[in-house]
Amino acid sequence: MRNSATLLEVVDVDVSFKTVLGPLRVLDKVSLKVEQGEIVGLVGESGSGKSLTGLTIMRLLPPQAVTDAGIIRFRGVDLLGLSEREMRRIRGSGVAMIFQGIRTGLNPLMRIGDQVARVYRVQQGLSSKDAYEKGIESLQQVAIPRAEAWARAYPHQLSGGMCQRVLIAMVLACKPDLLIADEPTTGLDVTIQAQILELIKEIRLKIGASIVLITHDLGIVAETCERVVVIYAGQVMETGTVSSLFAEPLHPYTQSLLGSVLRVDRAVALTDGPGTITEEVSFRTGGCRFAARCPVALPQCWHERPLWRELEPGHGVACHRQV
Amino acid sequence: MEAVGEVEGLLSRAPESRLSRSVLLLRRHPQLGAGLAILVALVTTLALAQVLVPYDPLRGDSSTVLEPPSQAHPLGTDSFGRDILSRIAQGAWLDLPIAFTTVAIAITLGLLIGALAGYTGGLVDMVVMRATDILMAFPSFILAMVMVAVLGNSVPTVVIAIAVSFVPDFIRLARGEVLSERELEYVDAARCAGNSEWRIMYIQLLPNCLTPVLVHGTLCLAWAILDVAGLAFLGIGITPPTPEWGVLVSEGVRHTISGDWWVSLFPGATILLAALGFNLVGDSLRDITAREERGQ
Amino acid sequence: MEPLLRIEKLTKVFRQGRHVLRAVDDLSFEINPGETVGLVGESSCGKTTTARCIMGLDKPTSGRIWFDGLDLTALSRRDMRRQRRWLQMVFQDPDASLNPRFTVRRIVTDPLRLVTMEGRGDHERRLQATMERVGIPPAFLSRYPHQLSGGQKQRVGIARAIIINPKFVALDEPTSSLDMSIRIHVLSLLKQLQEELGITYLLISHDLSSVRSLSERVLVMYLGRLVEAGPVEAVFDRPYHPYTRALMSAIPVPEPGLNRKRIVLPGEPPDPFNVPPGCAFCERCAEAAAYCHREPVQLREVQPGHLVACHLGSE
Repeated sequence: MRNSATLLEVVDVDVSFKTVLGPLRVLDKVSLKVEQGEIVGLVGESGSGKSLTGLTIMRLLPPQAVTDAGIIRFRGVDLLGLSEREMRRIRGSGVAMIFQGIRTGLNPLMRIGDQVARVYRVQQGLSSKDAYEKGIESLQQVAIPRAEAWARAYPHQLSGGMCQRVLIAMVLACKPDLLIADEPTTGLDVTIQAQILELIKEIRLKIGASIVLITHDLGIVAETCERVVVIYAGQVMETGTVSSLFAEPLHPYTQSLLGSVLRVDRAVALTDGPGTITEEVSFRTGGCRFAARCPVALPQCWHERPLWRELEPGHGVACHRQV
Repeated sequence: MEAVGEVEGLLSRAPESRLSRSVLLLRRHPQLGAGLAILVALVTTLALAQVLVPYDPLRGDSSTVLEPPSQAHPLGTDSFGRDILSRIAQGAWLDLPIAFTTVAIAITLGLLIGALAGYTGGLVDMVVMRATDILMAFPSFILAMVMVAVLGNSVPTVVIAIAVSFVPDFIRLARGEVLSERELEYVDAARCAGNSEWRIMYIQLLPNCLTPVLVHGTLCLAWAILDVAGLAFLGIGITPPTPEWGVLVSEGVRHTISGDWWVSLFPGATILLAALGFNLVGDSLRDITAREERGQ
Repeated sequence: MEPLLRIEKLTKVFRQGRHVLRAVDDLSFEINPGETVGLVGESSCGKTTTARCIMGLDKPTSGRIWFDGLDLTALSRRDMRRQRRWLQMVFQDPDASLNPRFTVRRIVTDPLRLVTMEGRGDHERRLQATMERVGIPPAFLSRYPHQLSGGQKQRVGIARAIIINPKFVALDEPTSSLDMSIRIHVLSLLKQLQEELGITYLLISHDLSSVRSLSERVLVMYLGRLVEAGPVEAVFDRPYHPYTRALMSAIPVPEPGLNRKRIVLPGEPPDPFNVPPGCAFCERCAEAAAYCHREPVQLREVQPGHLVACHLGSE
């Protein structure tokens, strides 16, 4: 069932790493959909493959990773079938990505004004002078004070929050249809995080882009996103609208995530003792990868991959317990 | 790429056998295998030679002067009728221990002084660093030459001279490592655990600074062999009739002109192989550790 | 009740050439035995420097630190080492705070040098008991830090801090590097250890959610100064200071449709080398009046035990 407003559709994508012990499936039949103009949260813990999913969509995987199977349909075109040259045209104007390490997105040897201007020159074919003025304008749009002065600064002179703003200014210059923001606020202070999250919401209003927000913070998801995809060890566990998933989590993993979340508006009871919980993630199993940590695992969970079930429209889950 | 690092981090946590790790390492770095193979082959050949070709490396024999390689003398004989293979094999007992001792001394001094300079900082650091600057201003070989000339010809002076010429490198390496390591939280944790500053520096910090120093040490083994032989070739340090590789080469040079090439070619080739072996090993170790540091 | 720890006018100044950075400026507070006090604020507000001064890792420029009736700032290096028996610290980054070349056993037993009266058997017994307390199986004792997961590493860091039964433990961002689902386990562990061993905690964190769940009182710092202090419920639910209010509202709550009003602060904290003479927060404060920029602020009590440093509402 393909909705006409579906912007991005990832279908059963497998990615594996070449390792000494043979290939290791780090993304296992990952599927997700992004509709026109929505913000989708991609939630998971470290090592869950949430960042890799972003890189796979951008086709920016490191050399030791291979996309084995699947379709990534963006505006109706399968990105996995494009040549590197065609893909380069999609990156930027089609799909843009903001990375986790804030400073890595900026060239340390170039003034930030020139960097933003360069995006305008390349993407919109403006003359250097116009591009520079446009660049300053977009720096003002992301609330950089005294933009003319800061445009002459180098990245190391900027704080983390400012760097993130510059990157967002560059995204605005590209006017992509889809922005993948990978932990855009990690390492920033909360008051700065609030500013950046507001900016990201504004991007959607200004250029109408859909946004995939990769994060581990359920608070950010609840306050920023409309839909959420929960991923664990390279498998999508559950997807749904933010309201239905938070109100009624179906997968034991989602339940444990929501059950262990700390809140600022009220104290959470700290009751359970030292108990050693497994953090080891098993990538080498034919079944559900959460089985090892699952409190309600069934025998078949260990070797049989649960089928994807949509219990209500838009709220799907992969769990043997949900029949 | 943090995403990749995360997944690989999860994998590397699994305990792995030492053997499978080394096999993997050799497969990824053929240079390392080549270097090790050269060294092992060289040492076993020379060790076997002492058993299979039992000539006295020092006693001449007037009946076998300047014989080309043959069944009886696989690498020929020199102008005193001494078997060249025996002399090279005997020389290994001098050159290799000298190289190892030199580097060991240089590493020890370098680590102690460098760690002290880096950890205490301030005036001590400044004095040490300026002193190494001065030492480094001389080409190390010339420095060693001058020192041997002043201290006199003997094996210990050669060892000391070459070690001193290597020390500045190790001081700088150790100091740099200590400077970056001492900012890490485990140093504060050690302080909270009641370790004295002395213990923190030499027991907690220093072992974590060893890797690059040892890697550089492997490279220095190659240079040490070249330096010892070079000094001997110039007639400084170790002198004839001691069977030392540099001495052997210099003894043979005048015969090469008259066509008796084997006298200096074989000792020269031995020096080359030994230096090449250590260089290959050191170089690939440096690659491997640099890569590990980048987290790959 | 006599406080276990009393900080009096603590000031720590760092100099960089001609520039002066007042990392901690005239900070005073007390911690009672068995209590957990949260110290919150954003990066470079001086919260870690405060802990380092208490632990004797940094030397305060001025001010006194009274611990159990003893002035730690007046102690010689040797006497301070003797006091470390009672003060320990859990560090922020479990990757950097565990020596990569030491086994878990060696790391955890390192502080036992501070209890020299005991024999080897006593040490072994302490080790076993501690590992059981923090939930690390004995098989892990021979492992190296890189063979542990993030949560396990932090448990090892906690084991190292509590093995000698300290009275006070400074927790410097103990959960910030951990996954969300692991955080609550580590906090629960800390809570349980406090109940069993009667430890007093100073919990330093920018993660206000952790502070809310673990501490009884909270101190809010901004640019080296205390802006608000009081019981957790009071400060979190009825914050007085505009900065505290913005801070609380900036933290996303994992409950969709809650529709909290978020106060987005403009700009960034001012250059710590060049703090305005009046209230440090005045440049980002929506309610700042002219005198806020000039007059230094003093802490005043708005409710019993609830202190605020703000001109607004004062006479």
